[in-house]
Formats: sequence, C-alpha cells, structure tokens
Amino acid sequence: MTTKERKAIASVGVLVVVYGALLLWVWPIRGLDAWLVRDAEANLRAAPLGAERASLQDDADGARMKALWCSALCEDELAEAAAWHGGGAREAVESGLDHAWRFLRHVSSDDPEAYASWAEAQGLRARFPHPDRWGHEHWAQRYERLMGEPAPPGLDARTYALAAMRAHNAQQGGVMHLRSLLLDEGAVHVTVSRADRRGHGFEYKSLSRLSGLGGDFWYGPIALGWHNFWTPALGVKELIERDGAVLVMRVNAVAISASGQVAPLHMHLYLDRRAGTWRVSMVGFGNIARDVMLGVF
Amino acid sequence: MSPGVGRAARWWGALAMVFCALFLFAAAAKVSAGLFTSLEPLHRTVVRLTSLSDGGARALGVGLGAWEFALGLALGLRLSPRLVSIATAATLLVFTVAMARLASLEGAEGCGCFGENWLAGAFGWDARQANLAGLARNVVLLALCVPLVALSWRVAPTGGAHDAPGHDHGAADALR
Repeated sequence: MTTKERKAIASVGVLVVVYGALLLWVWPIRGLDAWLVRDAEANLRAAPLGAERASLQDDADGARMKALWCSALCEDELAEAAAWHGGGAREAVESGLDHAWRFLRHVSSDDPEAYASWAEAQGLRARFPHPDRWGHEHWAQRYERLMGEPAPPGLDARTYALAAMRAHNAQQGGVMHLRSLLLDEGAVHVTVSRADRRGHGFEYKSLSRLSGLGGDFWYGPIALGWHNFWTPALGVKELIERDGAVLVMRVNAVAISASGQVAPLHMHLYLDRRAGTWRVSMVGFGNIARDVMLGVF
Repeated sequence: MSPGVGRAARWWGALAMVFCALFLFAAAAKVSAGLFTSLEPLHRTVVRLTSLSDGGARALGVGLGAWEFALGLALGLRLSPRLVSIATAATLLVFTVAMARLASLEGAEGCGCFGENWLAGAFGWDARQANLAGLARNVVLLALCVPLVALSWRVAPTGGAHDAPGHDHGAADALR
C-alpha cells in the first residue's frame, strides 16, 4: 500500500468517525427524535425537584395539595366563577379541586379495579372512545398488542380499559404510573373559565403567561393525552347544549412517576351544575419524551 | 496498460460513481432527516426488522449509516476496488433480504431507506407498495453489482502477483 493510499484511508476513517458522531447525535433516543427528547429534558430541568412530595395514596398529603391548589386560585379566577355560578363560587371551585385529588388518587391506584369502582359509583360507564373514528376491530388489535394474546370474543370497553390501565402502569418500570405531586407553589396552577359554543374556555388562559414555570415547562415539544373510557351520560358538549355554558377548570401540577419521571400534568374538569358534580374531561402531560402507551381514565 | 484493461477500469469507475452517489445520498439523507424532519420511522423499521432493543437499534442504525458513508467514500476515492466492490455487493444483498422481509411484514411502515418515500408520495403508494418499490430497486442495484465485482477483478489485481516483477501496474494506477 502506498503512502497516498494510506493517507486516503486515514482521511476516510476520520470522515466516517465524524459522520458517525453526527448521526449518533441526531438518531432517535427511546424511539423519539433526538432534538425533541433533548428539548423536553431541558424543559423538565425547571421542575423544583427539591420540593416536598404529596403521595397520591395519602389523604393527609391530599389535604396539603388541595390547600396549595386553593392558594393558587387568584381573585380574578374566583370572580369569573362567581359571574357564572353566583353565590358559593369558591365552594364550587374547591369541591372541583377535591374531585381532582380524588380522581388522581384512584386513577393512580395499583389496582385499576379500584378506579373503575370509584368511577362507576359516580354514574360513569366504560365506553370505547370515539366510536365514530375507531371501531371494535381497532380496540381488539390494540388489546392483542398490549396483552400478547387475541382479544376475547365480544371484547367490552371495561375489560379493555382495565387491561390497558395495568399495562400502562407496568410499562418501562412504571414510567407513567403516577405516585406523587410536587408540593411547591410554583409547580401548581388553577384556572377557572366558562366553556360555551364558542370554545373550551382556556383560549386566553395561557400557562406561558400565568405560571412561573412557563409554557415550555408545561407544554414543550411533545404532549400526550389519556383515553377517556369512563364517561357520563352527558359530556361537556351535551351540557353546553342543555345549559348554554359550563363552568370549567384547568388544574396543573407536577407529577412524579414510580420510576421518577417528572410529568407536567394537565387536567380539565367541568361542573354538571344540575347534578352538582364535577367530571374530569381531559388528562394530559407535556414534555414526556418517551415512546409510551397512553393512559386510560 | 492494455486497451481492454483500460476500458474495464473506465466501466468500473462509472459503476463505482453510481454506487458512490447512492450511498452518499443515503448517508446524507439520514443526517438530513435527523436534523430537519424525523428519523423515527427508520428507527422503528430497524426495531421491527431486528427485534433489537432501543439501544441496539440505535447502535445498528448509526453503524449502518456510517458503513454506507464509508462505502460511498471508498467507491468515490477508488480505494481497494476489489474489496470495496465485494463489500458493496454484500451490503446490497443484506439490504435486499431486509427489504424483502419488510415487504412481507403485515402493517410494516415504509422503510424510506433510500428515497422511495418520495416516490411513494408522488404516486400515492401505501407503505407496502413503497417497500415493494424499494425491493425492486435493490434487485436492480444487486444486478449492477455483478459487473461491478467482475470488472474490479479485471482492473485491480491484488495479492502477491500485484507486486511481482514484470506485473502490469497500469490498471491499478488507472484507478488511483
């Protein structure tokens, strides 16, 4: 081999190493694009991880969390609630926060049956979401992927949802199995609004402006929402049709999972005024830079 | 250098340039996708084909990209023509087998390994049709590897005879 050839081979070697390093830098991490994972992880570094944590299975911690959420309610929010709800707006909002805690407590239980019983005691029934979009076959295929075995004949929504909750809690060492919330006044936010035919009510309530942690922390480059299986007979749309408008609330907290994953949590609740009960309509997370299966509630 | 050997060297050079362009394009497209669009479909394809863990698929994907880049450079610079020709043929054989397997898998995504997703977009193909197109392209490229390897034998004799007294170095020189 001549000196010229040796030099050429050495140059190729250097170029290949540089190219390999560049490709490694951009290649997906945990199944997601690398830039997205790096952005999300950088955003999550803002979480005040030194704060105390409220265990989702401890009612004493629950009282502290509810107090923290209540303290996050500013007078403007209460005035908005009062304008719609009239007297007792504060009590109505506080009962919504109580419902939010009880929801999280049950949905994060080790036994999905406990959540199902709690939801069904409130008149909710398990139904496959978006029946207009996804037929029975879709859920049967998902069941087979989740459980590694064919779906039982006549797979019903409750059976699927319970299996999905178990799989969701167990995935990747409990990466999305919620265990606690951060007890830090900067890590919570509560917004009250009014949903009507024009919109969901949070159009002008940006977390970028309202929360100390900022929009990048709460939303970031990636978001995921859970599937809503246990639903009431009348959802938000039906209540708006019936009542013209609905009192809605967005509750934010920083959840920590069994594996220690920081998960900026968004919950939307609405009040069925006639029934006097709050319902959870949306559960979502921002900045979860992992290829995870979606939760079920 | 005899005229026959010179002609073989020119044909080999032309074929090598075709493969060089293809491999460098494939390598550049991977970095470009990682920077500007998404490499997630390719990562999922590697996982689907190999059943490797996330980290394993990452290592294999990066290794394959680096291998394509190295082959492209070696072909372009005409380094060790015989060895590089055999490596090119072996690589395309592996890619063809992988593509055939991908095309046979139910619900597999489009590989998008070599630009066929652009064609799929233009012709409205689904993932399976795009993978079959990729398979057809690989078969054509594999067929082109036959003259590539055969010509490399004629134009770049290596081993003891290469440096033996009286050996014609013209062909090897023509490749430098």
